[in-house]
Amino acid sequence: MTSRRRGRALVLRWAGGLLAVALIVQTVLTGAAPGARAEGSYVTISGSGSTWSQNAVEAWRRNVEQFGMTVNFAGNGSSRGRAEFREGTVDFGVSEIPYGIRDGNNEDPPPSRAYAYMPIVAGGTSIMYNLTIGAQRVTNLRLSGATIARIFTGQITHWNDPAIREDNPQLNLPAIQIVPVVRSDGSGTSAQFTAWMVSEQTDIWNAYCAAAGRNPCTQTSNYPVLPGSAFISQSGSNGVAGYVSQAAGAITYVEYSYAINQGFPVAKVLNDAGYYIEPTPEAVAVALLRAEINDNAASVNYLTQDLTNVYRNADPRSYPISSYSYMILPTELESGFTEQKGYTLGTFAQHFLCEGQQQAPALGYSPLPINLVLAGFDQVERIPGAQDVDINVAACNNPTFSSDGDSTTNVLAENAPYPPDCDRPGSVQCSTGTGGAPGDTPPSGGAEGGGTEGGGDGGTGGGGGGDGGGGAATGADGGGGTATGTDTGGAATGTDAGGTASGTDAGGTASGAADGTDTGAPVIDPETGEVIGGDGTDAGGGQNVSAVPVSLQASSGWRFQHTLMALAGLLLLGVVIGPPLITRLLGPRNATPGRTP
Amino acid sequence: MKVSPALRIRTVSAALALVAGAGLLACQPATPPANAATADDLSDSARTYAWSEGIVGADDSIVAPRDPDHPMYEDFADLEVTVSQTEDVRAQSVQVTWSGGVPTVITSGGNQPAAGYLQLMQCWGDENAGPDPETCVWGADGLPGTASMPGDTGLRSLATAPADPLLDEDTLAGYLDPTINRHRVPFLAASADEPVWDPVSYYDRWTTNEFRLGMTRADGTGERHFTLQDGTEASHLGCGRTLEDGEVRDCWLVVVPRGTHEVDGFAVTDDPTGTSMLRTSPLSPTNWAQRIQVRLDFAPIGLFCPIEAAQRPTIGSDFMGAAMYSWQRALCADDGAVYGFTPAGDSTARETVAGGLPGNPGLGFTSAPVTESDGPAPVVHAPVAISGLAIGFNLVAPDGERIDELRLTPLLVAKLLTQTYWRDLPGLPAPPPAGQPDERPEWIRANPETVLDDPGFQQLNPDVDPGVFRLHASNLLKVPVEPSDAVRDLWRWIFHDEEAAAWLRGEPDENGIRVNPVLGEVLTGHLEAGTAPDFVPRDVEYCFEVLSEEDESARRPRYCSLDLLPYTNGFEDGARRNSIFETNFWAYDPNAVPPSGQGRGWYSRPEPRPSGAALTITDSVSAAQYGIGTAALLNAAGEFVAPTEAGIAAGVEAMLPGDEIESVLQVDPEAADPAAYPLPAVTYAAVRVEQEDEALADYSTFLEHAAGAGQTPGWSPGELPEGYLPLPEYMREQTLAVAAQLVQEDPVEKPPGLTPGGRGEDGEDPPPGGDASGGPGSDPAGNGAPGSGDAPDPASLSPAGDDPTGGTAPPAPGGGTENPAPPSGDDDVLVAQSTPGEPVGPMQYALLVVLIVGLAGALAGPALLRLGPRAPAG
Repeated sequence: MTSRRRGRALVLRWAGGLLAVALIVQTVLTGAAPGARAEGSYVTISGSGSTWSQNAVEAWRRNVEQFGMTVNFAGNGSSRGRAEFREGTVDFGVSEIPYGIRDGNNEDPPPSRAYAYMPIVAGGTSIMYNLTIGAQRVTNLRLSGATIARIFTGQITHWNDPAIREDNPQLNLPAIQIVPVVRSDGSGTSAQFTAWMVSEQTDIWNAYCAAAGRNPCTQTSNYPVLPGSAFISQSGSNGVAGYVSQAAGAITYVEYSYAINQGFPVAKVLNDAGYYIEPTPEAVAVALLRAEINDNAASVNYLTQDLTNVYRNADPRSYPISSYSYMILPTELESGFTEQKGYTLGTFAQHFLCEGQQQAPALGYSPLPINLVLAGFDQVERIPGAQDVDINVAACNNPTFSSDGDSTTNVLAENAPYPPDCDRPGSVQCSTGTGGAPGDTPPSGGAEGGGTEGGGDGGTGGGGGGDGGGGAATGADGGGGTATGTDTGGAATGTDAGGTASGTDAGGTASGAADGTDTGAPVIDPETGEVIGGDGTDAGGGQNVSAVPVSLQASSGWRFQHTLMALAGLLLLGVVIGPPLITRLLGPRNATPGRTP
Repeated sequence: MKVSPALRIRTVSAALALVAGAGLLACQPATPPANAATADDLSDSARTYAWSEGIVGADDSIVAPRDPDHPMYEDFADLEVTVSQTEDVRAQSVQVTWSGGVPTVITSGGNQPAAGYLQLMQCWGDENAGPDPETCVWGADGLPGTASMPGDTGLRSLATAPADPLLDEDTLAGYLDPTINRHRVPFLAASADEPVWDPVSYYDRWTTNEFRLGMTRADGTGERHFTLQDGTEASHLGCGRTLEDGEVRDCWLVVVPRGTHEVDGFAVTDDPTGTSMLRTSPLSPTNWAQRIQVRLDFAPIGLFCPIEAAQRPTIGSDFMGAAMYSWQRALCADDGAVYGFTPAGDSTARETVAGGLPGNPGLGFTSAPVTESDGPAPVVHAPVAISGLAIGFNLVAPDGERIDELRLTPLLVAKLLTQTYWRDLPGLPAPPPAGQPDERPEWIRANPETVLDDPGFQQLNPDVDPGVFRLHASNLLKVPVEPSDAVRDLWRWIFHDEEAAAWLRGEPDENGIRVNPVLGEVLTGHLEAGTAPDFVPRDVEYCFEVLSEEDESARRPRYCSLDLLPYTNGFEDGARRNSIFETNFWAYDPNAVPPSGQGRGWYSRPEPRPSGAALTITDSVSAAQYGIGTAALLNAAGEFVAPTEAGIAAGVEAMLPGDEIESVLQVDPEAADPAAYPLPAVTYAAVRVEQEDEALADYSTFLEHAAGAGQTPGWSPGELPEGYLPLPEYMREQTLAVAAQLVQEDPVEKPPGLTPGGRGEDGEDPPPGGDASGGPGSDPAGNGAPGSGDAPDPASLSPAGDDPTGGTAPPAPGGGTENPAPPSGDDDVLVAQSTPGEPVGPMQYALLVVLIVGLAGALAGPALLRLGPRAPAG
């Protein structure tokens, strides 16, 4: 093992040299790795556990079929996964939390069989919700940590609560009930989510936890629900996500990939730097740069995570509720585990730590950074039978790896985009969609919306503050006037919410004739008697869109053309001011002061 | 496989020198020629075995004749067993039929079989004489206990009473498992050297393929499909794996007939009390000696791709699962690219491809085309596979009688999808006895218990006796969790049926059955808007509420719609669960551990069953793989058509040019062809145009395979698995044209118009961030349809084969109005679409070059002036 380590370090040092050489080395290694097809000597292995990471595990499982590998995985929840590994009925478990975490008075004893933890994928526990204003699906909700905690402890019960309104200045939030949806099964997602509340929203959580009869108040895999509350319990990540997708007003905590699958938005969560951030793979990667990994290889909890500094990461790009998921690996030949299984499991692990991480971002996960992959390799080597697995760091095709092999950088995090100003608290909020609902949400009201009032006479949608991320153009509805909407890139939607229309002009102009009329009748919630949705509904002449917006090709960040343009600009500047400067520089030697040729 | 790091570094050093001159690809080591299976015509290798002829060895000789004096001889003298395929088999279903058997006797008191059935198992065994009991997959842990299979009949255990005369004491002692102090037959895996007492580490109730109860009808016949496992699925059998001597391991299907006699010669039917049953294991030597063993000539499972290689990722539709598994293994031969495949919903695939994020897959599988709303990146489409969405069914009566045909109308499927039958609503009480007031919601009072009780269903399917199937028939239809275009097509088929649409809007059907109003409202919303959902909504408010007795926090374990009607993980998962009758009817078990792990009392997962009724949404490929039936669906012409080859072919023929992109066909729910299956599926590969050259080359290779060798039906790696239909010629040409176009040298030549929604054709990149009011293709207010000026898609022009290369289509004139396709389904709806960028080519550098030269000149000018010889005037 040590010699292999040395070899690996050597490869790294090599690669650390010239970038060009490193690239060639990598290419050669990738290409020259034993590329022959083989019948495969794998045996069937099976695992059980987390639904948080199940979408990733399922994708890996399906993809390794082409290598002749059969991996069975049952997403039964982390608690069951740990229990079944302990009982020896599965070859590996998957869990977000280690054994022995104090959970109220429950014990989760470690198994008698020998085991090790290995991180497998990172992700964000997202706040997925189902909310519409009028007929418009809200996709840009923002929530602070305290608001989230108060929602999931039953303190905030309606969507138009002042705390939510404060987070969302440009949403005219309806007075409908919030239905918090929590996990009914023993869940690592619940454990991670409550761990975050225990750490960051201590008072709110403790009060709730005590009211639920839990003593002591700890993080918990079994989310407590007060009798008679509006809370709904569902089993499995698919259960909570499926419930939310079909129940108006519902909200849950679930891994980001489930929201993407269901086509639903997730809340942007306020981080310590003062930005509301979506749990994109990049935002999770940035957050986890501050994860403290137990690096004491002698500890039973080697490689497990302390996330306190992740929750409080002051990087503006950081998503607070980020974490890793773990595989629990057997390290002895017992409970029916054989060397052949070890070889299969080791090869499977080696694959998903490297190549398999490429699948992570598209699914809604964040790939593991290099330091954890390297540590993971060490754990793989502890699996009996896996000693023969060809571990090759230089050929490890992991998207977070930098080309120079530096084990301290995470390329994904380094290249993570900074949030636009509209993601800051204040009077504006970005209208771009989130999660699996990329569509924009036009502003629907709120008091302090910036820009021109656009409600009455078909005004101009403008202002709205520095929306850099692709704002929505909103043509405001009016009585036959002409509305002009503007847009930076996202799909533009004409609406007639009657509130403030705003947008920013960074890209193009769209114009059209508005011919809708507004009945002006507000929608009243029958239950609360309060106004929900916009001030009025549109009963206009057939077409609900007052402006026919056109968006240009959405600029997807800084691209080569931009570099060229900037370069061209610089050059032009050089052409203009270069000659006089040169002349000046050369002047004193050759020319009469004060004169230029 | 193992390469030490030191050696690797040395290799690298050597390689580096080569690389400099020879290029990277030259350095790849040669691969041994692929040991691909020979192209196989599925020859008719069905074989019939007469029990009386004796046990047949691998070389077709009789290795053990029958003894006419044996007490069991009379039971089986006329038994003949036919297996539908014995040569060139793979992981697949085979049909086992028999005649001359002892009719099944079920105990009067319960559902236990007393006598007269067949037990089927798969075994390995390299000897001519056949397998040993130790090498058979039998007695999986966790299968239903003695309540369904009495005594040891479902186990590996060897009882001492009734005593097996072939088990002497010494032999019996060798079978004593010291861990449980009982006698049982250990399991010897093909992959292991030592037998184990407990086979759970190799197979369990979810992975075993043993079949415990093959019922025989009164006329002595019966049948059952048997799912064979190859050495990849079941490494403990190793069937189809290449052995050290280069031979491919064949395996055995063992049929142990059970008559009326026990191992000791006692006939259970002679018992005057009528309570005797066969109790011994089929592995008990006397029973084992009655076996019919069928040699299965396994095709080599073939070679797999190297796991070390970097992968070219693909993502998308579940329809591609089986095809990808086949194609991947052929494409990676001879150092070809290794393609990753991530199953995902069509919309996820579209957004991934069009989003254009670096590192994300550049090829997605989808039924509907990528449009502007999915993302900004230009995308081209090529058809790669044809199959069909299917409603798979498995209806087997307790007596073994199997229903082969099922007919469903859009109305019936609508009812199945909307929790209309009251068994589909957890917590809802059963209807009260006649005369009592019905406390249930009004809408459900006239609704039947299950679809089997629906008069509309009974009229179409008179052979399906609800009394026989109802017991385990609740919550019949399983649906996939992932949203998909296929499910949207299913809803469109329902919505276009007047009867079903009216019913969804709230009208009761002729029997007074009404829609669940919660779901009816959701679906009516789509109906009114002219849209269709790509998922199956659930009424999530219905729950069983159970107070946990022990939990101090008074937690209520709720068991709701999403628990009762759990989703499947995809088409294959649905078909697999159907094949083992994994119904969703979870029974409350006061001793079960709840998912929270606290207290007691929960709903236990249903056991796999030999009989029952199950329906699932699946595809024609998975249905074929698992041997389940597919329902004939009512098409718009009023005919019931099943997803057979002919039905799907006619269905594809009847598809319409797409609304967004003509060449991406869409299902026509109103197709008039009476032979057309209403839910055909053409899956397209959507490829992002702007990618690295290597990626485009790999994807191009993939498309070439998909349009070529990948369309040859067969079981070998690279061929088209059963259940798919080969692409028609015009689609192959369409795909080849796209494949050629992806690898064209000059990106400028890439024909425009391959992205939906059209783009202006003035050949300029719209300036990002600049004033775009005059931008290409934008006159939205004027023509109301931004981007409708789509250039004709060259691929769409090639169906007749008039443009096989396709890629050379000239750029179309700009901003035209010649696109005959409407911009979207509804002319009145103005659709905002972004105008995609256009590769500009080397022209984009012109300004840069001019400026560099200019700057150089400008800087050099004054300097030269100064440094040069002084002017006379100086």
